[in-house]
Amino acid sequence: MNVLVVEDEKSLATEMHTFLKNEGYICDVASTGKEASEKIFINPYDFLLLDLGLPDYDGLDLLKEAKEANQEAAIIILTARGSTDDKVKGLDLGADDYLAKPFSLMELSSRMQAIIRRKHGLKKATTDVHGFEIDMNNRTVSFQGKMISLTKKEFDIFQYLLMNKNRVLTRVQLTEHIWDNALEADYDSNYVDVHIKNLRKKLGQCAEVDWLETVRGIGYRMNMS
Amino acid sequence: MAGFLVFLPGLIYDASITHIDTRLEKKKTNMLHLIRNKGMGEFIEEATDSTHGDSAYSDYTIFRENFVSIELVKDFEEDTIVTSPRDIDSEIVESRVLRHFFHYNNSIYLMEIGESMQYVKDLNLVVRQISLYILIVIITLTVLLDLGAIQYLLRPLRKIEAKLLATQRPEKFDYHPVITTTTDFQYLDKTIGEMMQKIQNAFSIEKEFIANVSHELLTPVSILQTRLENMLATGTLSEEAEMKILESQNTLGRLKQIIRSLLLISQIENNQAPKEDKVDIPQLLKDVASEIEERLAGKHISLELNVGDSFVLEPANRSLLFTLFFNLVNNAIKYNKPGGKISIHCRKEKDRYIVEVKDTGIGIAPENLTSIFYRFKKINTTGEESYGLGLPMVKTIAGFHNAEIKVESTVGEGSIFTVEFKLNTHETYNP
Repeated sequence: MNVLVVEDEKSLATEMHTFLKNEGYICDVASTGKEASEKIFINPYDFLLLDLGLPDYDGLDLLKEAKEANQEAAIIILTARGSTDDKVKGLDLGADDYLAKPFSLMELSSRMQAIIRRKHGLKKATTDVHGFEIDMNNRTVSFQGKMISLTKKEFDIFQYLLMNKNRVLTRVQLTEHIWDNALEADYDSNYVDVHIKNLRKKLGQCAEVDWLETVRGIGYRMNMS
Repeated sequence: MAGFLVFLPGLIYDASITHIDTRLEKKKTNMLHLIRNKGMGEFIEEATDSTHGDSAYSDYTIFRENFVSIELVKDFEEDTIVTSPRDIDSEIVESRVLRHFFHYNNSIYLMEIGESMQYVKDLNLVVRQISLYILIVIITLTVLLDLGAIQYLLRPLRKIEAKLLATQRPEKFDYHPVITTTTDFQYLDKTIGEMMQKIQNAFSIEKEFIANVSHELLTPVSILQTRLENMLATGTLSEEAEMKILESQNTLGRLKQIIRSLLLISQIENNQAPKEDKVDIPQLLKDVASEIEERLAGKHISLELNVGDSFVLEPANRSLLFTLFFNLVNNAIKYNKPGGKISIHCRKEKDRYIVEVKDTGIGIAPENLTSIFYRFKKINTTGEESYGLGLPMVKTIAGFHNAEIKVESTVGEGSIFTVEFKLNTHETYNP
């Protein structure tokens, strides 16, 4: 998968580049609108991660250009401008998703995976996790046909761990994910632990859940082969 | 004019007296003329009746109002004109009497010519009454005219007053000059306008500053966040280093929360927040309650929802209102005692819709009650983290929805936060 990161802040572009490379993406970086515009014109990208606040270019114009040059590219808008206006305009112009800075790389990764699933027609709606069938579209989990009733947040955690499988997710990352409005996140609480405990209890009634691992004091990891 | 009316009866009285006196003088001349021509015999009779003793006496009355009498006296005196009561037909009548002494055939006679004052008094009374009525009418007219004139003259001042009353925020101030020819009013209007402009500038500089600073902070925070995540992802760090990174992530999270809160507040204050939703408040409160369920369970706190019938607020911003009530309920949990209670009540009053969030928490000291809504005032005493922006945000969001936020609290017993939405009022926003 080819990804173009359009970000004028070099350090941030570097971190994103490092992360995406490790994730197995082929990653390219453009730090100005002009550079991005040229690259979009030449290369067929699968993903455009687009910072709207470019010094030399209106991000929304670049978005339009990208849509014309490459219909297939999935576009995620990254912006520090917290205004919902930008978000609405961006989505209207054909962006697939929107992430407000500062965002978590894990969040970026799971959003990208969600888009891939949607765009590239992973027709199979369900994913198998050690015998548990997780349906991303209907947001349900079942085991051998039997539904397991999870709360919204329990499902969110399960899905997020799955999207970032074999990687430790810290409490902070999980907290920020389940409280999508950062204002309501409570960084000093153990709510995530409570949710994981409940999740394990519910899933554990059907099968072993040792694949949902507690990693020292850091966080949790879903181990998948 | 009024003064004239007050003195008018007196003037009329004086004029009447002068008039009467002139008449009396004229009569006197006539009488003397008659006496000279016709002799005293015509008028005087020898004193034969008992009443008058030895004096000669003549009484000559035309009407009750007028009389002439001549009598023989011993001593000569100066002429006088006096007002004195007279017995006429056994009735005391106030009269103006001219007393004239004259010699005739070596005798001294006193001629008294009198005229009743009654009609003068009557006239005086009538004049007084009329004067009084006129006076009342004139005073009333004057007062009304004056009021009208004052109102007219002060019209520019009223306009300035109206402008100030209509101004809840400097940017809402009507900077059009009030049209007036009075330089004082022009000056006043101009000065107020300039002051408003200064305040507005100071406000917008502050708001812009907060917005810019917060915005500028987002990028470095993004870099730090992604860097920390990449460091953790390598998996080659020592456990100790990983724990440090975890702590840093936590700290960074709080920093993000502060920046986001500041941005949100400045966004609302700069009127950049949309207000296009219809929000059913009872339903919203139920949503908040279900979102916050786990936090309640974590502290064994029970939540009583008594929200009543649907009440739709519009235009509103659902996500902001959600944040408002979430913050209130979250605070009620945070500052509650384990096993405590929170109750949410809604009620509709004549002109307002009231949401009350009551907790059995630690309460707020009276000296802190006013400052809890200010940014970065830390009121927390429990040692739990408080970023001092939750309640300022609540206040800002309430203001954005033209609602008022109030708090009552007793230390050790709990607090009651009340949000009062004004009904049927238009968009007037006080930050």
